[in-house]
Amino acid sequence: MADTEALAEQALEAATRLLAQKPQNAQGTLQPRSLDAAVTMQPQANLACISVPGAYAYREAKRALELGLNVFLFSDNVSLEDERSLKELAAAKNRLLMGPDCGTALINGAGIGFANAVARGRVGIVAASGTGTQEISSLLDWLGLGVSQAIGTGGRDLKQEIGGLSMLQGLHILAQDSNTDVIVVTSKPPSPAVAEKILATCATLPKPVIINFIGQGATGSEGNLTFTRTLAETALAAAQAMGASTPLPALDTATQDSFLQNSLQGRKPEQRYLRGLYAGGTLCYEALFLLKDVVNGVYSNLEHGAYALTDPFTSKEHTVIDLGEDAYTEGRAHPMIDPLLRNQRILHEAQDPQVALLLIDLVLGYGAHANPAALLAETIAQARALADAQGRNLPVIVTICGTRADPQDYALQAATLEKADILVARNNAEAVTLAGRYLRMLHD
Amino acid sequence: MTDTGNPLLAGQPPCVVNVGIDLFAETLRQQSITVVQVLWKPPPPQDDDLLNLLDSLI
Repeated sequence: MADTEALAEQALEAATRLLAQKPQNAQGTLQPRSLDAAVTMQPQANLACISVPGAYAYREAKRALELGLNVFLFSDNVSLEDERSLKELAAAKNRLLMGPDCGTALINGAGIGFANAVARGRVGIVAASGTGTQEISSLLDWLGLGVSQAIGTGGRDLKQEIGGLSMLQGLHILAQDSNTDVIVVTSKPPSPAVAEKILATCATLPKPVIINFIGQGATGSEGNLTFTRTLAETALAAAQAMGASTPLPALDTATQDSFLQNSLQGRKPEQRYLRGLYAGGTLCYEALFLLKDVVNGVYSNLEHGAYALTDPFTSKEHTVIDLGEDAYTEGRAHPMIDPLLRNQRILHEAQDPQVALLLIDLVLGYGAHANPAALLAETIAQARALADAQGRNLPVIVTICGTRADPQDYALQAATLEKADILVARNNAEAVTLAGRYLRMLHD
Repeated sequence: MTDTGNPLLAGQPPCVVNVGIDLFAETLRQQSITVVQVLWKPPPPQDDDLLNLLDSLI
């Protein structure tokens, strides 16, 4: 209670002033409390980036579409029914619904979500995979090309229940786009009926289409369609379709051979198994698929059936895990943002006497950790000290996904790792292939 | 870009409303993209009609 009337008046004035204030951020910018208010404030808005918890995502995405916005929907845990309904609404409104669980898009040169600083160019991408888009778009940049648009669809778009609605819409957009000469399609293997529909549509388009259904293994060409096994081959095939003849950036043979020889020399006989610790889901999936050609079985949290990893925190024989999966990220940031969990896992693996090799991805770009190589190099040094104390070596291959224009400085990231005696591969397929060569040497 | 009738694809950098994780707004600002951050909070358990009415009033 105020002691005097004057103090009471002051208090009332202060309360009135506070009540009249609009919410602002630290820079003093007004912050709307709803999508509607945001669009009123910024009538030019044409894209909503939505990352609220899944239970609220449908409502926000639906409202955004109703307001005439396109939607990049990072949120997951949206039901298939809701996803389909949002995609039908988007189609009716001639808007894009990228997602749910969409990690990456490049729209008119802007990276949305986790994206790399990729040059603008004439290759268009429609992708049901975030790090797949990051790997292909970054490699296109390395090949001297660029991306017109990279449209994300969300990982479940090619399931039977959704029917590839976003991918079909994206294909038609890129087919009409006068800035796109070559189209890239990438996804985990679709449901057979949806695959048929996508392929039939691609075959009618007046442009070359490079198709990478990761894990399906198709290769070769048919009319305007080219099928590729890996993300790196996909970037290369797109570049070739554009008339470019630049080879993919790659490690030279001497460096690879010397890595294998040195690793073999410091190895104990019981060191027989690979541990792949991935932050990028599609990079992990690709590694798993490529390793199946080399070893009999690889345990993973992405596997179902006999090789499903029963305890995600304990590796078994050859194990490759996606640390971006819910089991690891519940209540904490994704390992691309906060590498703590993966670094702990590296130290854990270093103490396993059966570990022969670590295979790791380092994803750069917008949204990723500011200096991931420094933390990784430090962790590997600690891990090697642990292994060394027990008389073992610990060879490490890291694949960097990124471009020279990324905020983290690609050259600095690579140099930091190399200084720490870590082999830096120039793409995931190269890293996995080299890992496979080493495993063959151990198991022959 | 061929006119698709979708303003997002008209060739200009997007103009974004970010609802959720601040990081995504920051990454867009890093690229000099115009972005409005919504001060989003989970709505209290209400019926949809009421929520829509509130949206139009706030």
